[in-house]
Amino acid sequence: MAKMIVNVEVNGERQELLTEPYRTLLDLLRDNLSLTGTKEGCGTGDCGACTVLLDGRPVNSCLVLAPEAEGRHVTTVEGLAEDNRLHPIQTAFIEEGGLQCGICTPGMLMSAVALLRSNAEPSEQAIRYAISGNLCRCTGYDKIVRAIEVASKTMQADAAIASH
Amino acid sequence: MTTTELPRTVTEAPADTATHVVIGQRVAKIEGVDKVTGKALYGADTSRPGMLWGKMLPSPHAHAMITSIDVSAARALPGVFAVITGADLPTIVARISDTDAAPEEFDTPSRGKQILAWKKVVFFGQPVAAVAAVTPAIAEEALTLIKVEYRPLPVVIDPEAAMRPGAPLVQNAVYTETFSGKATTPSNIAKLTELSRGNVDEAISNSDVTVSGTFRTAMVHQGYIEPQACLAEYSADGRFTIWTSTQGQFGVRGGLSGFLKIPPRRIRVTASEIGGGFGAKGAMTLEPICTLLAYSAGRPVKMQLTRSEVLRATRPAPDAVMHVTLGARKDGTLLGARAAFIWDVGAYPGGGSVGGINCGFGPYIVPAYSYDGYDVLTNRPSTGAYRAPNGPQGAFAVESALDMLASKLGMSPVALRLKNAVREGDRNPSDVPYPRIGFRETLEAIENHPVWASPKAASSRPGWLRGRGVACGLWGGGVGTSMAHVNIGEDGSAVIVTGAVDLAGTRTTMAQIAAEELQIPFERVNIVQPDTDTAPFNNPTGGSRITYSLGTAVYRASIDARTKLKQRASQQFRCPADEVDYRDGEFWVRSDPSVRLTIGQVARSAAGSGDGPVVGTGEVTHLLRAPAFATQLVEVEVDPETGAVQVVNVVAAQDVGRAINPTACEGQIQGGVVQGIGWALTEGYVYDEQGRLRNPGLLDYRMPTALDAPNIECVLVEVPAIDGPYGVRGVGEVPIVPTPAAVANAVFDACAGRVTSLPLSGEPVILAINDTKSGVDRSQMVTFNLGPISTGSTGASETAVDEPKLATEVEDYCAEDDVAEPELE
Repeated sequence: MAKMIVNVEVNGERQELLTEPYRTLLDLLRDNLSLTGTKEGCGTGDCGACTVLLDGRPVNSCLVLAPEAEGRHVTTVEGLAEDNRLHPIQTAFIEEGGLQCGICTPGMLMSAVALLRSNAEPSEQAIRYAISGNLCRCTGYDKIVRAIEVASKTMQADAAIASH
Repeated sequence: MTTTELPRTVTEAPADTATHVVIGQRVAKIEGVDKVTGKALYGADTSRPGMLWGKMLPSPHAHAMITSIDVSAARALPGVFAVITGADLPTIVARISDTDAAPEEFDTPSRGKQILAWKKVVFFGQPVAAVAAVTPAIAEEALTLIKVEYRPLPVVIDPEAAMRPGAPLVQNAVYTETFSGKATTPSNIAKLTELSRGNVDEAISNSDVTVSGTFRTAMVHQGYIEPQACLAEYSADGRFTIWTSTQGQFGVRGGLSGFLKIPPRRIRVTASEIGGGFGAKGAMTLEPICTLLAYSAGRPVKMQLTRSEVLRATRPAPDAVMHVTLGARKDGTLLGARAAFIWDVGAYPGGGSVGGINCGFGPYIVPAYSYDGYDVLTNRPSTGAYRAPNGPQGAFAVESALDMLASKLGMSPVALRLKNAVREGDRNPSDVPYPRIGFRETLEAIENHPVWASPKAASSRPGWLRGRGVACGLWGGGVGTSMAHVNIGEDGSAVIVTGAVDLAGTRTTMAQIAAEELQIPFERVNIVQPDTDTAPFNNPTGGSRITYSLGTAVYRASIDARTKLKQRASQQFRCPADEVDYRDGEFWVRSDPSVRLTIGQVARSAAGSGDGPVVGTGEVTHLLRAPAFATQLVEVEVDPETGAVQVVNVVAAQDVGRAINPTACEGQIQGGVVQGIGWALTEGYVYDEQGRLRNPGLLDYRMPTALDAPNIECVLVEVPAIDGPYGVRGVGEVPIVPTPAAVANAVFDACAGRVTSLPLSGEPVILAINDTKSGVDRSQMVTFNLGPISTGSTGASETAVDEPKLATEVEDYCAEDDVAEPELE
């Protein structure tokens, strides 16, 4: 099958990628760009391990065909930290024990970031709903929920300081 | 370092009464940054130049003879570098090992040998052929070009049906193995385990009260989010390099060495970061086939299972049919128990046996018993270890029956268990005495917990009913060989070198132990896990053994390093080593404490003088097992119209011996409980009559999401183990054991329906409620009618074929750890 070029911005960097049209955004990230932080757990959109932000919205990158990413902005787990400074959600996951094996963590972080962008002070139920598309088999979710609560507080405090 | 105080119960002072600085602290995960930034490399994350992609062709039949395979079209497809089938295995292995091809050794009922189907397929999805090609798409296209002709055979999926005379034989050369020898005619009953004590018939007939029940659990999957992945490379110097997601890199090296018939020095294995294992990645899956493809193709080959392959064709946990009868006095004292546990171990022998009996009955004093365990072959994937292997099934049967007994006696379920709970010195069903244990303390922690003490709340959902249930669990504890090195850097920091795989946080606890014993800040300790050429030997991670066994090795290595540092300091002080004191990173001579050297100064100076730089070493082979007990209180809400069940609250009390890192302990407990909730409510393999798995995806194989998981409060009980550092016990396995039973007991409390099969959400609850309404009392049903079964006659036979086993450390180890207490001394 003829290959095509996909222009996409990934973590703030413009990329021109050659791919067969049947490949997925997940394939582009992992195999073309070696951004292996995004994981494949099922390939059918059921586990959420491949969650990335597409124009700011969380998507299962295993369900996005590569050509669909044309002209769009993608953020992956590799793009969360800025200038070697961890994003508050990353710090919270580490400090609250919100990860064990860590395979669901990149997708979980992206869903959490998307939630906190749209809802700075989510209820526990809202947090659980927002990550219900991300399966975790190690933690029982409790410490992940706590980590997102802590990150929410930190980010609000940071925002308050910034606005002064 | 983050420290937070959460409620916990300390029932006894730890054996080690020293004041600890780092032990017991909630330090953050040492590898946390790598995992939240995407830097951690998992099984599928490594690539090599010129790498090919490997794929396998699954069998569309559950049981069929392979009459022909034609791979010529697949081989001819441009971009395909290797195609192999079961028939090719002997010649490839012979070429690699420079030995004669021995096809007969693959004609054995061993999943480890038959990495591709041999002459016939025995379960749906079994790999029949494998290809390596330049892209995944070409590899998949090549699979479609392989022409296989099958002659379908009758299928047996139900273990009870498989036990009957005349059932289709899954394997032609499996003979029932018993304590007294092997049967002489083939049977689907691979193993019969009989444990007994006293006169059980008399004990039960003398009982004031008896209950009986038949309990069923479904085949479930470990559900790790990372599918198995492996990368293999062959070099012209005859060496193989393997990167793989495994619980034991030395196990893979040993296993490949046995399979390929080459010495371990020709194999170098790097365990990747592992995305969940729960027992399943203790056995090899992709490694042998990936290695053969890489050899045949002459290029590195990467393989990654799809989710449907993971569910169809790895090693899930066995389903079970369990008949239980209990007899007791009016006061609740157990007098006798009879049980027959039937384990559906899948298409190859291994995986069932006594673990479930020891976990199920082990917590209780039963004066007279007879427990029979049947490992039964069916046309399902061979089964394997899943967190406390077979414990949850056994506990579901026994703890449900105890709940029935408590309600018949009008006794509190906690009081009934306390009355019969084992103590130190009591013996388990395999007749092994318990060392110091903290079982009663977990029961008391629940009995005294505010949730248990307070009246039951009403459901907030109209029409729903709320219920509360209790159940207990036991895991015998894992042991095995571990080794660690502690390298002291010239700044006085330490790097632990270990070859053990960290499943979920043991790197952090190891660093805590080293920091504690070296008396340096936690932040100055690092830990690495290099490959099998570089790292000291370790048995695989499993059975909750790492913090206990590797922890002992790290403890010893740290003390060794400290001793050596003291000796180096004495060279600098020019005095005998026994005159040097050390505390919190500083050395001094006892007679003159004013002159001090820091650990960094000593290490820096030693790097180029005296006896040189310091490496501490620590080894451990077998410690005494440290059994771990748990008691859980589960609150559920049940919709009596639909049978829907929601777990709303869990209090999980567990004897952890000594919590080195309470956050990590809680994480293990909460994770185990939620897996147990999945097992109880929604998870289960569904097969059709042809033996095809109908739910090989995570949409229909339904694991709990964040919305299904309740609030889980952990009560860390600390009754120190008598071996191992600080009194620590393994934590990971036992929290899953009580949960399914506790959920079922809570459902009974809510709606008076006794559910005896899992998963239970929905129809089983409605049926159970209807039973109660129509007056069916399951506790009085006669359940010991196994019907005619076919084991063949027992006794050693010259014609019996010994089951050849793949000599893998992993399989040996897991087989050992399938059993809670294997030492029958």
